[in-house]
Order: sequence, then C-alpha cells, then structure tokens
Amino acid sequence: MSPLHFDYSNMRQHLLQAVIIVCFGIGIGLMFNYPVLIKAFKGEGSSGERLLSEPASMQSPRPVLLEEIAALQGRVRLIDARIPELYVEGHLPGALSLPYSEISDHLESFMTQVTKGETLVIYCSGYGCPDSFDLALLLQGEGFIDVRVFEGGFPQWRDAGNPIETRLP
Amino acid sequence: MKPRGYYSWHLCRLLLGGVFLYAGLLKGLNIEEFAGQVAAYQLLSYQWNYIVAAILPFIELIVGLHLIFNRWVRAAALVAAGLCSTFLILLGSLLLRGLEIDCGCFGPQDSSTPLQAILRNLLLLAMAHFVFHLRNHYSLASIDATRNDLFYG
Repeated sequence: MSPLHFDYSNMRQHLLQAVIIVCFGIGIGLMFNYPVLIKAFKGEGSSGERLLSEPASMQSPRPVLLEEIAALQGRVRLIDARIPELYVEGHLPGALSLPYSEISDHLESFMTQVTKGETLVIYCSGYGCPDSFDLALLLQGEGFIDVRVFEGGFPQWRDAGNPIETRLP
Repeated sequence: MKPRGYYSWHLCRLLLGGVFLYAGLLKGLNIEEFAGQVAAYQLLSYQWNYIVAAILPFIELIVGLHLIFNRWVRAAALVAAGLCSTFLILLGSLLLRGLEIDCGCFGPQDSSTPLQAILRNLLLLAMAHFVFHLRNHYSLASIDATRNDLFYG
C-alpha cells in the first residue's frame, strides 16, 4: 500500500476553479430568478416584511397528524384556538390560548410572547371546527413563517388517552 | 491493483455530490418559500434573504454536478467545505439565540432541528475534507500516473 500524500501543488488553480464555480452559481442564480428578485426589491404588492410571508400564506397551512404531535412537542408552539372557557377545562400540555373568536383582544399580547420564526401548531375542536385553519391563515398574514394545523384537535388528542393540562390562560 | 480506499473515495465523492445536488434542487424549486426560511434565521435584511435564496441553490447544484461527474473535484470539494462551514456557523447561531426553527437545509419540507443539521453538516464537512485531500491519491489520474511510472518511468 502506498503512503498517503497530500498534494497542494495546484492550490492556486483549485482556488481559481472554486471562485469560478461560485461566480457561475451566482450568475445563473441571479439570471434564473431575476423576476422574483425584481419583485422582492420593489416590495411589490406588500410591505417589505410582509412579502416574505407571502409564500407561506399563499399555500394552505401544513396539516399535522396526532402521531406527529408527540415528536414535535418541545420544538413547536402549540396554540389553542378555542374559546377561553374550553381552554381552561382542558388543553394540550404547554399550549397557549389564542381564541380566534376573540382574536382582536389577544393578538397583541400573543405577538409579544412568540417570535415569527417559531413553528406554530394550531388546533381547535376537531375536524368540524374551522377556527384553527382560519387562525393559521391570519397568523401567516401576520408574518409567521411556519404555521401548521392539527385538524384532529383537542377531541382526537383526548380520545387517544393523551395527558391533558388544565390551567388559566 | 487499485489502492485501498479507492472505492470509498469515489463513493464519498458521489454521496457528497448527490447530497448537494438534492439540496440544491429542493431549494431551487421554490425560491420564494426558501427566502422565507432564510428570513427565519433573522440575520439578513429583507432583500438579502431573496438574493441568498436565489443564489445558494445554484451554487449547490453546480458543486453537486462537478463532484458527480468527477470534474474540478478539489475545487468543488473546497466550495462544499466552505458552504458546510458557513452553515455550521449559522446553525450554531440558532442554538445560541435559542431560535427553534426548521433548518431548511433540504428546502421547505425539511424539518430537521438545528442540532441534527449540525451533525449532518459535520459529516458532510468530513466527506469534503476526504474528497479534497485524497483526490490525487485515489483518483484514476493518480493510478494512471503510478502505472506510467512503473511501466514507462
């Protein structure tokens, strides 16, 4: 077996090639995405920060299944979109209360507790309840980037025998 | 006879190239959504998030293609190592700032935690190091040179 040898003889050539690769990538990237960049620089159709939330808001909030909740816990912020009375009766452990029906009263204090980069998982009273979805769209419009909906909601969580937390919002 | 490590070197090169090609493709498919993920790092201004989102996938694609097709491999490995090191710094900053966001390393659907992404980047950095430093030792050119030395030297 021949001994290992590290060859640094053509380093200038390799560095030049690396610079060419990067410049080529920059050139193609700028050319290919020219329309998107122009739109971004103009801030077209929206204010600066709002435009960044558009990709997320243009698509439906991502659904989350019951099985995924356990794996996501601790890494995401759970949001209870039901009325405060139901929240007090029982909610998912660690969930924050943000009742969609009283959103104007709670949104301001909610925005101080949560950063827009956090992943939010919103739930309400199960598949027949539209509040989680509506709240998700509203929060996407507020600039939250990763907003998901647990469509099974509190009933599915409870019926699966998972722990329930009760405390005042 | 091929030197020991010949196949591992090529496997490493192809794997590294494949990962960069895959990552570039996934990010490049939806630039606007990727810009949103860059913004989640809260490091750049609004326009720079878009510029990075527009450029990065293409650099990754080109690096991946060079590695896969075995052309300018050391330069591509150098860029790959540079990218991995930059990603490590960014991911480290996430941990320091306590930001719990998806890393976005493989586009919008990637939900790896910063810690998982750091481990993956360390592995990729090690692979780039291997590909760069042992290029001449395990590549066909080296074998040809050795054979020429033996038979014609």
